[in-house]
Amino acid sequence: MRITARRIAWFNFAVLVIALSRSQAVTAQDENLWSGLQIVYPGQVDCVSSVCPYDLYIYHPESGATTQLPVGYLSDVRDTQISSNGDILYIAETGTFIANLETQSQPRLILSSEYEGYRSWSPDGNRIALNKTGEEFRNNLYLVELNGDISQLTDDLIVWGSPSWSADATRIAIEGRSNAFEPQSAQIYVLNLEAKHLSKLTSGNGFAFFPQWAPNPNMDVISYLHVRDDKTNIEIVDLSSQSQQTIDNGIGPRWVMDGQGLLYTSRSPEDFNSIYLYDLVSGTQSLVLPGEIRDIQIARYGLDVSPDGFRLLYRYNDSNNDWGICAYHLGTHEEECFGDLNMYPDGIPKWLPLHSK
Amino acid sequence: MSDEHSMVDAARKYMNMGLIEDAFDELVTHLDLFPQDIEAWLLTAQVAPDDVTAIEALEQVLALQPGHPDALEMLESLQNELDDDDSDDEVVEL
Repeated sequence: MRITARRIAWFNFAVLVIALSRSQAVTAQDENLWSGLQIVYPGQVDCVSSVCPYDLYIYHPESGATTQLPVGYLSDVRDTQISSNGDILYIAETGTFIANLETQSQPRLILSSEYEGYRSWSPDGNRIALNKTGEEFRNNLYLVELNGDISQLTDDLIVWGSPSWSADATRIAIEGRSNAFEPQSAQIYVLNLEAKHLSKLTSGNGFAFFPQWAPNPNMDVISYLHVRDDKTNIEIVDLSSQSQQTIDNGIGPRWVMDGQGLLYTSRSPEDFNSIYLYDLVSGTQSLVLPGEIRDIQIARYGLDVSPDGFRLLYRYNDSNNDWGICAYHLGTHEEECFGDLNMYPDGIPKWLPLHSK
Repeated sequence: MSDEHSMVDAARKYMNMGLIEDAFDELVTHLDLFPQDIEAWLLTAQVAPDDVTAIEALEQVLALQPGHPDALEMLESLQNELDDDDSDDEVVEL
């Protein structure tokens, strides 16, 4: 009986609301968890076969309805990125496409399936940074225009990881190795697209990877992970003032609150699922989400931050192996989750503006 | 989180190229930083230099997610192989 009730509840996309009280005071512009946003995610819904392709789905929080963005059989969508104007870039088995929900036009092929590697859309939605394998295992960084033109940006580094754009889309931070087979040779580099100049941001003992530019055009700040003497820290470097802040023993940094805060996961074995917030202004840290089974999904797959920087989106997988998606508001500490017995979201769900600009 | 997994991506690439030892080295470095990464433990089991290391990797998966179907299947297969090897050894001794 309990199972039946649960099934009905899940089937109806019943919302589980957990009000979490925290001492952290954050001023949010919009305190409604769903206001102005919907959710896009790759996954399988109502799949009765083990060979269903991964399609794109849109969840409308206000109505609780889910619609499918038809991308066709064998598309097998793996990842999505959303531009500031609401376009959806998705990576599928057949290539990299751009779709727009409002125009309802056919998704446009930008890159054929021969291009593998990380694709990172510029904040203005005009270009894509791509690292792809060249000869002798050397990954290089490329710039892809939306008309399909491709230009090579690096040739003397082995580039791994996701390129990160500056908020004004003039520079790209990358993880580069001097030796393809030595992860310990990784350092952070910054490429100025206009000057075509590559500069090394980190050096010295240890290695550095996963650069992320703060998403605020008024800030010139990069975070990255630094490993030295078996310790992993998150470093935050202000390129304007050359000042630096360190979060000890942290991983998984994600910029929030318009660059004023950085979410991260603790590396402590007894606490590695908890999510913390580092306030750049005060230099203080606070617990946002305590480690629970659902947070393993955050640690494993990551989360998405809303355009206003205050709302988080992540997958969960509970002890009954039910899958779903949760949203969390950093200002109100409200968390809502939705799911369905026949829903298997994949990758990281993304916030999508309700109305394109 | 997922974007930090550049070493896992490198490992996958090396696996596809048949560079198994290099893939293993990448995964060891990654797992030292991200010991909760189930996919990386599963990959490690595939490129481990010996069965004992592979079994240890699968046990890490099951510690993180008890009942993980792929890990259980791989573990059973490995243990059957080890049992077969043991029985072969016994025949040789006889």
